[in-house]
Amino acid sequence: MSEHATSRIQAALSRRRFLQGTTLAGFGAFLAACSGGSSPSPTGAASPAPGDTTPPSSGPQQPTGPLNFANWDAYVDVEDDGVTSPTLVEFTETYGVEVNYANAQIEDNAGFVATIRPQLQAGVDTGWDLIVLTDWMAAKIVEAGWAEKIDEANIPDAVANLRDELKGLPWDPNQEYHYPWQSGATGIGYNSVSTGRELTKVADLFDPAFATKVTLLNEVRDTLSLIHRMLQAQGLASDNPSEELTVEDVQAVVDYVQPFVDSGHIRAFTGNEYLADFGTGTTWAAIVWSGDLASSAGPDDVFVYPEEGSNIWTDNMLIPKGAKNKYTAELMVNWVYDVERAARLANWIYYISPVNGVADAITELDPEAGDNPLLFPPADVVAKQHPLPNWSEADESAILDLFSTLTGE
Amino acid sequence: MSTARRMRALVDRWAVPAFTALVIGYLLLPVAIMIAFSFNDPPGRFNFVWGEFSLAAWGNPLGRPRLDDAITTSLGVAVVSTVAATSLGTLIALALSRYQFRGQGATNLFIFVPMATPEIVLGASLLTLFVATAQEPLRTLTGGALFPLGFQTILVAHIMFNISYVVVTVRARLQGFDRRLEEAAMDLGANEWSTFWRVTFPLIFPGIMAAALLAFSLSIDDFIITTFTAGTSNTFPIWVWASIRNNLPPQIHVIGTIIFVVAVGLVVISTIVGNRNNRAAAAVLAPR
Amino acid sequence: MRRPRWLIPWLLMAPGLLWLLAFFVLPNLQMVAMSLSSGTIGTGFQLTWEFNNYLGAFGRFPDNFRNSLVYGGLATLLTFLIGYPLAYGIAFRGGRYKNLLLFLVIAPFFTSFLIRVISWRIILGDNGPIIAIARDVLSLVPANFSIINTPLAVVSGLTYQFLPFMVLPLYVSLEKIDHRLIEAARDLYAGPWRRGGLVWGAAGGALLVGVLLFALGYADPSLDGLLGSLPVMVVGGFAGAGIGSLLVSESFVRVTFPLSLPGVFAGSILVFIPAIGDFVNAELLGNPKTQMVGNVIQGRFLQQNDYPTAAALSFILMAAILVAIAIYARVLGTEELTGGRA
Repeated sequence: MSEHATSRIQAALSRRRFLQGTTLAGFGAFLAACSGGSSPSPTGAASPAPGDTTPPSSGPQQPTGPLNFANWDAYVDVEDDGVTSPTLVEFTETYGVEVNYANAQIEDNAGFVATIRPQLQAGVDTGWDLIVLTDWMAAKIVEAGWAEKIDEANIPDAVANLRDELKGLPWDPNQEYHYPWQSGATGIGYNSVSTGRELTKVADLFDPAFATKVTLLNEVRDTLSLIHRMLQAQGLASDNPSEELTVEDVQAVVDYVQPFVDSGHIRAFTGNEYLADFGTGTTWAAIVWSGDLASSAGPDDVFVYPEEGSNIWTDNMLIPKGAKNKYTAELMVNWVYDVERAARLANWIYYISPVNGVADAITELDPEAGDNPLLFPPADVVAKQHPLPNWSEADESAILDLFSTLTGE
Repeated sequence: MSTARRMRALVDRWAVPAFTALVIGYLLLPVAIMIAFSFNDPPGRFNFVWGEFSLAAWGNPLGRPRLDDAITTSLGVAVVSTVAATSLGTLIALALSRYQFRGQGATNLFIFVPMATPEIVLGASLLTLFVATAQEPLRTLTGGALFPLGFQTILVAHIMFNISYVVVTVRARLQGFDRRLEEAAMDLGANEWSTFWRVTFPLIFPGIMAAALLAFSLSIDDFIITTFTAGTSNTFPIWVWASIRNNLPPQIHVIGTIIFVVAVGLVVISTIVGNRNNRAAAAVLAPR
Repeated sequence: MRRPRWLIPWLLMAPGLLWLLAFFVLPNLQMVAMSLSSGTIGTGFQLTWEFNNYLGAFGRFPDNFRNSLVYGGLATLLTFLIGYPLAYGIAFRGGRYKNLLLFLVIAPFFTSFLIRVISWRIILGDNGPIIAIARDVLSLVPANFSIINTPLAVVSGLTYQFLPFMVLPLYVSLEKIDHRLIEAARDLYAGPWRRGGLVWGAAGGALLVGVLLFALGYADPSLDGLLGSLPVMVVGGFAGAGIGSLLVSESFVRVTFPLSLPGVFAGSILVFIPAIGDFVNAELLGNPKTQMVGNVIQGRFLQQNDYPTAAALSFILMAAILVAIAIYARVLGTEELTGGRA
């Protein structure tokens, strides 16, 4: 079906990687040329049965390539030329396999999955060996049986170094299908000069002094869960944890927030435009993502983990069903969980690393980074961090409808 | 009285040009900001805020992963779709404005419908069509060319939405076109074909160029329809949109500035060349 | 070689029409089927002739439809008011620089639209230059006045984005006018449009200001609102009268403008249609109460995967647009519509 075109694309991409002058040992180059030229077999790679296909572990496996790795933008370290990635180059040097790193291939969870859904539904190779999706979308992929089981024997570092707080998620409790790439936190951001005071809670956003200067996120899961926990702290909501928000909980949130939207107290629901708005004084306080403020905050911008608890969201590595280079993908998963490498990645990406021990390792690269709470949330913050909710299809429809009454769409 | 008249004359002379300058300035304000910020070294990942003057981005304009792919794709799609859409659209415009035939009114309205359709619908409907060509029987019909998505599917979409704009633009030029010139040429012995190329075409050429320029601009800037039909490829607008979640590098401003400067340069050159031609033509065609 | 006369136009149009047939008509027929379906993206969509989708869609989003019509209409009006003098200036005073000036009108397209909108966010921000001048220097507006995330910002964004679509057809229309007609007109109707300009200008100015105030939400649609906005309307009236009686010449009103009507209608349509379907400006510059139909369609398609409702809304929007076009066509003839014979 798509093999011919896919192999053309892969060949072109691998040629480009080759020509980009990455330093390859002769042996590695020879292997890369061989594997780059091999076309994937027509239907042999397809694993049509959407069930359990545990690949044979053990035995000396050879990594095949090139590895087709789709990721968000700015999620891998790059040299000064802005293009070559030390982490990926070293991977190629070590294993002799090219990496087709499709930077910024994923710009939106739903949008990307829409491009691979037909293949997944038909049980055919999607053309990708490794993809990175946010929790809730990763959950859907796993629940639909569209993710390959990862062979633990091939990922010793990952198994050993994954932070405990990220384990045991309801949609993959035994860590069989996904490994986090990196996480971010959602909390409160404000401009200390405009607000004139310290903010510590989500409830501070609703301070009448800040009317028309507050924005919330248009990301439904973040906003609803933060407000829900705020209402819980005020005794106005049920006891459901925010990762298990029900339609009734959402109704309560919407009822609370609606008057503030109507009066204009909450001026808008934004994406990360809030950075520009902090700078222009248009927004004084907002629900924000930690990564933006970690790397790009203005001198007066402050990020706060709210007292009611912050959100932790994770972008996770998954191997889609039918991936041709599954073993290589597992090697890559393992590769980025080496503590030194993870520290180097974290120092560049500037989000929250899922790897234990990075806080110490990173101080060698950047002494201040190890103390940065936006990169390494302290234990008391972590204790109050909640993952994002995931909903059944029926619930999700109803909840998105409710949220859209708030955002006006 | 004469002071008032002189003042009025002054106002008459300068009001319109002043207003023109003002509006052009208004239109170019974001362009000016883009050019200014291309020389910025932002304090963070996002080129929103002025940090310090720097030529770093200019020294490394393609220094972002897959930016070169995105630009090549954008330009390639724009050029090819412009040529195709302008040709197809001009033919339609000629047919509609110079011939009377049954179904003319309906075709007139039909040309408008793509422009009336929200871009999201155009994009989503094309995506469903392309995905459907992955299955038989459409698969053999299209030779599998339309799935998986890529350069060719973006091209198909861009040609589609550009045709209507070309038709409208060229028709506006064709209206009021003096048919007597053509009749004179044919009286003098030219057949339809050479009449078209030697008389009609040069006279409507400005309209065709305007249509081509419009089509090119629409194609290079298109985002919504391209999002749906790009698949694994990137065009520049999509690349920008994809990066905004985590950063807004100055390279974007640099590339935008380069595109702008090149385009201005082309127009300036064509103006100079055109003026020279016009003067020659005017000399030849001077009445008497 | 003797082809029947009626075949020629169809032969000329064949390639383009076939392309549109394959890649516009066909996919949209699928969309029509989708709009009559029900289901979810997980369970699949089945064609169930669910006409309720249309009724439901129309009934659930009246505010969004209203916003689209109002903001789209305002954008069309403003692009006309700004674009006409601009097109006039380029056509009649442009001289050798016409092409360059025209290109500068389209120039915004050559920047990424994201950059454009972000730039406007910065310019229109609370500490940005516009507010600074209006609030601090001229004291025209109260201290907590804000442009970003208001209907004003959305309409400004739309006006900015679609100005080229108004200017180009106007220019084409104006440039074609035979200059001898204008000279003759000047001989016949020398001088400014004194009397008419005063009356029409004053009325137009006041009305324009009033419409803007009400539509953008700065005055309540009530008697109090009307009284409150009277002073500003008077100012608008004076400005309009001034422009009308001093800057507009009689020959323009009697000859030039009527000859340019095809361009006016073409430009209006080319602006109104995409403007009412737009969603980017409302999303990035507006607030929850200014969301347009385009935002709902986008949300339903991309976030909620509610394809049937999204498709139904799209076709309702298209139907409204086509009705408007059909009315134009009735009044003016379809030739007029696409810049055909006057």
